[in-house]
Amino acid sequence: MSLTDDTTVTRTDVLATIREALVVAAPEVDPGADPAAHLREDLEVDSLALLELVARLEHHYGVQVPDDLWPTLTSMDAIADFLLAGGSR
Amino acid sequence: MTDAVVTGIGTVTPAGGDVAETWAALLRGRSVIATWPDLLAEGLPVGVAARVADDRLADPARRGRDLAAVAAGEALAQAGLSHPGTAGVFVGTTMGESAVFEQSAETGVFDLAEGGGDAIASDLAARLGLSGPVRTYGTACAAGNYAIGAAAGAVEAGAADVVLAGGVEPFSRLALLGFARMRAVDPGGCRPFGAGRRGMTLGEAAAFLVVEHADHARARGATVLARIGGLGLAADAHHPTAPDPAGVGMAAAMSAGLARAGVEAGEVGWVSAHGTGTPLSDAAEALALHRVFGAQPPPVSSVKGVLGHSLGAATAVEAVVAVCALRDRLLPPNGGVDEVDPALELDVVGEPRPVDDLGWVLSCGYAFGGLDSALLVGSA
Amino acid sequence: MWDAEWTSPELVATGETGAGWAAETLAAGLDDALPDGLYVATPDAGAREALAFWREAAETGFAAPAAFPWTLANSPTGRISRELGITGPCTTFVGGGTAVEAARSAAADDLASGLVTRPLVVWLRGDRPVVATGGPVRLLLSALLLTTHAG
Repeated sequence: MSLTDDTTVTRTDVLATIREALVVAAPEVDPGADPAAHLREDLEVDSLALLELVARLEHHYGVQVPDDLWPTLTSMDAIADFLLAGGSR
Repeated sequence: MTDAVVTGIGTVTPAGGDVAETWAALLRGRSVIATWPDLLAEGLPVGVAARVADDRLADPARRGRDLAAVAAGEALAQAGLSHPGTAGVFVGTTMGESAVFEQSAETGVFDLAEGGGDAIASDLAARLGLSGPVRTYGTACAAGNYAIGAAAGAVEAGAADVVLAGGVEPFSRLALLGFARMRAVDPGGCRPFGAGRRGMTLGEAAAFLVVEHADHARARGATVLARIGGLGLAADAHHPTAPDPAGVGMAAAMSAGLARAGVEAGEVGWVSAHGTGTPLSDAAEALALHRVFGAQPPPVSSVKGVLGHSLGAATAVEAVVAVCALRDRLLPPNGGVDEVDPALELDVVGEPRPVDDLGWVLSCGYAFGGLDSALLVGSA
Repeated sequence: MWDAEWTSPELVATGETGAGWAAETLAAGLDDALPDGLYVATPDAGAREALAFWREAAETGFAAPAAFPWTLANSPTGRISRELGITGPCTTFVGGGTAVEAARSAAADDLASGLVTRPLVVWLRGDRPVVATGGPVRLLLSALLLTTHAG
């Protein structure tokens, strides 16, 4: 389901989905953490867990993160921004 | 002086069906990595790979075993051993007979005896009628080094007169999918030690060396091509996939190899690098080389820019290449790379480089899970 | 012959869970002086994980990046080396009885040559054959720590 097709989905909904995926991808990390926190540096999300998190969200929303945008996905907020933009720039 | 010598080499790679074709391709320095529309049509997320085109590989489910037979056949023929009855077989691999795993999703059937890593060594020993020790090393991207190092140890200890040692990795769609999902693949093909390098390229290959006790080779009048000085091993104990960025484990393996072989750092004339083209691994490897060799390490090349990364076969291919370099006193270039990353401060071989005396080749392989290996190969 | 043997709880997913169980079980079972070399023999490490990874991708279109590293036979060896902090030689032998013997003799040879002082030999396998459809499995773990005083 692309977010550009569903205008009823809010940022809160998307963040909730991100948090659910975080529980699966990085179970040792607090899913209630500040969405602006740096996933790797502040929340200590491992590199493999970050790949897993984003891959699950890509699959859920039917989008793909282009390689050049990958380095920008440093927080849950940044990921939400990407997804709400329909998975594009 | 080591007693383990090499009397035959054989290989099948994406660059050719025998040693001569692969060596020529490496000297030309042009990559055989390509985009494969059939992989994309199958739904795989990337189509960039290095693949073997060879009529001798008819059955996808036996591709690894058939690759092994061809490469081993070439090595034994060169060694002049048509019936090496008591020889051992030591094989390194990562995914084993990968197509057997992949086919099971459709068929619902799986037989570990057909698909498992040891299926290849067992099949080769049976095909050749060999009664010596049979071993499979599952140490991923370092497995070939492990098999060859162990073979040298076995012949020196008298456990066997001859061991056919190498690595085999048929093309694995499973691995291609996995590396792609890990964002570890360079969409333009791997560029080892390159500026702007972005990742690896999956390949496939098989390569074997006939490793023999020097006395045994001399007694039967065999031509000695090279010597196996020894294998150094270490582990990062750091991360499931990422290397230790400081290259401490890599350096420890190199130092251990030099010590085991009784070789001084200054005697190494060429480093055949792991050089996969990933940003982190190449940087760590450069740091490791500086740790061991100081400000000016020996000249370095990776074959992976031309051949791709053949995982369990990679270090075996690289050992075959080392024998060619020693034989011809010629360092192959770090092919497939236009611009080397200056931050690494390495003497990366740009054109084939003749040398008067190569001394020793240090051939390195570093595996997922942080297992580090360095093999010393020297002149005959 | 083995110093210790353990059986895991029933595992529906193996991969990191199984390798983690093996590593943590070994860490709890060893005394204070940790091994300095690791020799793992396994007939099937990575095989169930590889089938599950590929099956999930085929059925759902999702291939989990974090699952891929565990499809390699080598992955428990890496996991154990990290848990125990082993930075010396670590090797994975794939196969049945001959792999176990190869692991034990490689450890003994390295001990005799002085390359290591406390090599740990590990045999890790599932309690039933590897099947395409997956399903629960128990892991069987056997370990032997060689020292110069071992009989």
